[in-house]
Amino acid sequence: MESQTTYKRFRPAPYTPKMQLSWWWQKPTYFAYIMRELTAVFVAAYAVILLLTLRALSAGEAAWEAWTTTLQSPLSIGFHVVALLFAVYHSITWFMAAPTAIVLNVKGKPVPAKTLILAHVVIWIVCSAAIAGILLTR
Amino acid sequence: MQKTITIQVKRYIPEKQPTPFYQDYEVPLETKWGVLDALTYIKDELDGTLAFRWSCHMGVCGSCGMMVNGQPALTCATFLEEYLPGPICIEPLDHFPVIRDLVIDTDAFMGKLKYVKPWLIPAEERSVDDGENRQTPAELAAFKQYTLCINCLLCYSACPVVGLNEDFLGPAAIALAQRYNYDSRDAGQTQRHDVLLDHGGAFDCTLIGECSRACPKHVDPTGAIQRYKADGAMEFWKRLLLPRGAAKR
Ligand code: FES
Repeated sequence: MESQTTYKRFRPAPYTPKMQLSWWWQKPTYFAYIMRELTAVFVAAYAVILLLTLRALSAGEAAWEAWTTTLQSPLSIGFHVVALLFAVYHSITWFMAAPTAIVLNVKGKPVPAKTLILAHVVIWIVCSAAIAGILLTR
Repeated sequence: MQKTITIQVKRYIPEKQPTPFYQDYEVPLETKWGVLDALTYIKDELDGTLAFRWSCHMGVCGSCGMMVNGQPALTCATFLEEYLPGPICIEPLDHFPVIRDLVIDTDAFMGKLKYVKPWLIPAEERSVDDGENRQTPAELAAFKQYTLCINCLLCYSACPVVGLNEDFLGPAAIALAQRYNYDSRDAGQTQRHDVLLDHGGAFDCTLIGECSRACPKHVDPTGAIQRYKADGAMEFWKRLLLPRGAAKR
């Protein structure tokens, strides 16, 4: 990328400050951002657990029994609670960010950000309730 | 009643000392003084060697941006009273090379800005005889927000991605690219896609949103970039799936 450097010859060396490794501790908004990015780790870990569950299911009854007992250990339950919290946090930040990318005009007027967020949250709750309904009423 | 306030300035005088240092100044606490007024007082009355930029003193030229207590701000639009009892720490804008004291080197940004072609690229050459290139109010509203950018670079200082990745075009440059992309008189989208889809383009943004919080003109670069990601993703798939030529249309 080119840039004009006409004056450089007459300038003493500029000083370029380096970013500190702890930059994300310096503002609450940076911290919230890093936490949101961290949610990916938990979502990925949960995906691995889901795959292992599928493998146990296909490996027969003994494997399945062993796997479900492992899942009931306090460590596993603790992980699931933490993962759920991170997943919920991720979803909320995602819905809050939705209006930044979506510009909707209805009858020539832009739809307010709050309405867009609300619409997303309502759809999310309806879908979650539907899935929970299917799983729990069987 | 407090009569003075301490201004702590991060100074850099390359010919004297190779590293920056902090210097304290005691300035009168005048009601209605902006931080810029305090710096002007220092330069006029206390220390003529202090270097900083300013011009309009009314929040439109975009040259007085500095870090005020760690937050990027236009110093002419930031008041001493907001920081009582002080001290107020003034540093050059983050993520830029510092030439002297509070003066930063903007060359890299200027290069990036030019790179996104922030000018009208009409579909056909027009001559003066063609008359005005008219727009409806709705067509103007589609991009007007992005025209309000004053290139003050506060968004660059607010953005950690800018600090971590020197190739990133940055919030203002992408918002200004969008200012032309959404202009009904412009046909330069394809050329800008080449830049914005590339390494260092819009997809290097990780959606921290700090640029929009720092923007004194409510341009909302975060929004401009996320909207581009949607448009850019469409273009990416078009270029991948459609035969050459068709996608360029
Ligand atoms: S001096 Fe022009 S924006 Fe502050």
